Amino acid sequence: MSSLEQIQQDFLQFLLHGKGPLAEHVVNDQGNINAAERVSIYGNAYRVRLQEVVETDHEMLGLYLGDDLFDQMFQGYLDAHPSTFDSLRHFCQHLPQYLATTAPFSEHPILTELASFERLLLAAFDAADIKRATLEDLSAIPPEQWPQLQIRFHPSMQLFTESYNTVSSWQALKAERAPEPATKHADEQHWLLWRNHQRLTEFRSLADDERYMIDQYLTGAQFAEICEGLLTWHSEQQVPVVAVQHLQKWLQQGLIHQFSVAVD
Amino acid sequence: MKKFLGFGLGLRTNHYVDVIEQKPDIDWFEIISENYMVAGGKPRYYLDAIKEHYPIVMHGVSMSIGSTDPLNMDYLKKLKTLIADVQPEWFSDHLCFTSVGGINSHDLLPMPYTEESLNHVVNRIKQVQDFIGRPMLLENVSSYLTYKTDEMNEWQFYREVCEQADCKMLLDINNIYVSARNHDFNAMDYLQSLNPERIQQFHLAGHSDFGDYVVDTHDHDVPDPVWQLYREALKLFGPVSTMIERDANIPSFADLEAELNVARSIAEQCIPDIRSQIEA
Ligand SMILES: [Fe+2]
Repeated sequence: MSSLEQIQQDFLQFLLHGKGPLAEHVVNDQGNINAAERVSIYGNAYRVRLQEVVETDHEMLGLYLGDDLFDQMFQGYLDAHPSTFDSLRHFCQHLPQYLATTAPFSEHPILTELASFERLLLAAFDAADIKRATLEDLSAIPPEQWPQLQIRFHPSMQLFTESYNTVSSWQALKAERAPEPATKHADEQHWLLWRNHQRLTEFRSLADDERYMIDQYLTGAQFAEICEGLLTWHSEQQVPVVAVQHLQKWLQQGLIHQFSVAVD
Repeated sequence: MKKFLGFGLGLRTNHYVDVIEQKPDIDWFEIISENYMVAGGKPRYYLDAIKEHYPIVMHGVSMSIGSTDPLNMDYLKKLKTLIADVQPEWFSDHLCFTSVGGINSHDLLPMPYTEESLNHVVNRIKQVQDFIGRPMLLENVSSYLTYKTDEMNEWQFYREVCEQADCKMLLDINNIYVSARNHDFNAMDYLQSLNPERIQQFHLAGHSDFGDYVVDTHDHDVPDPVWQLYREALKLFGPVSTMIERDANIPSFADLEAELNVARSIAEQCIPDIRSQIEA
């Protein structure tokens, strides 16, 4: 190993584990601080910088955990997943999975859900800024082609499913209130997150029929097939009304990127 | 030849709306390249709007030009794409290493100042410049330690790297001050040793002073000794594109503008017709 390589390896080992021979490469008798103090400036900066990323990207999770558990989570996560990313924006990418699989956090599944929800908020923020379809685009589709209508959603749209009172806890913390104790729902609840026309990130809950429609459109299903599926929730007369109302709502909220008509 | 853009600011997320709505009297903006290496999103939307009105330069933090890892071609491809999209006046990164064994420290770690390190870094800069198809600017980092193996001092090393690789310098005046304090050298010796032809851009920033040592936090106003050094740099190097670089504890846009106006008036005291030399 070249001496350049050796120094760099030792530097990394020191940052990751706080030990090793880095200080032996460093001049000791310079000014009022010695080699050990000099290398520790780098060690501290490394931790502080990454801790700030977790605090910023997962602010409500941090509040939910409180200082001590947050520190424990941060130390554990940093040891398990040092950054391999160009940008700090991705540093916490593995945090939901870490919380789901590492005790004591894994004993409280609301934690991994909170982390996932916060990551989706960030994904909505960073997603591509492409054009959104308008009501005129929809009107331009001739009635006979409606059954084959397909949708591509705006890339900022994210779907979230919770088994616990995760989003309401997030909202409470955001409003500086204490969240209710973690409780498991009888049934899973669905949420939709996206960046709106004003480029602000929004989210709202999704009823089962709407979640069904979105899932179907995402897999390439066509209007007519989706109407059939809606019979689970609505009468035959209601189905087309419900289906069209949702298209209009999605357009208003800036959720649709474009329409197309399938050719069979 | 070096282009004088005038007086700029680092573009920060919380100022996007101020810049678009007020079209402030700022000559140019510097962006952090990595923040825009995304499909689109809010950052790209605002950048597109802002670059309609202002010259842009790109500043990266993850090239890890001094690392003994292989060059990160994936990163360089993203950088090249971004350069093609943004068409910046120039792009820069730091004379340091950030990644080792694929792990990114997200810090600007100092190189040993040896022949080995010099050859290594010069070769890599040449490869990057060939790949991107344009010369780059290299910034001096602040440091807190000196390696026992050093064969030259920081400014000899920096100067040699830029001469041999034929790249330009982005001189961070604050970083020189910080390193001078931490290593007890005279910042004027540093400045006087540099080749004025190489110097294309200045960063001005603040730091945290702990008495026995100084940390380059880039989270304070520019302090008097850094302004003083800026004066000396202008006298030595003439008009150089100057900006305030604030990375944390970011003040209001109006406060940054006021700080930039301090730089403008200092520059005018040193070079009275400096404003007329700005190339649009
Ligand atoms: Fe800088």
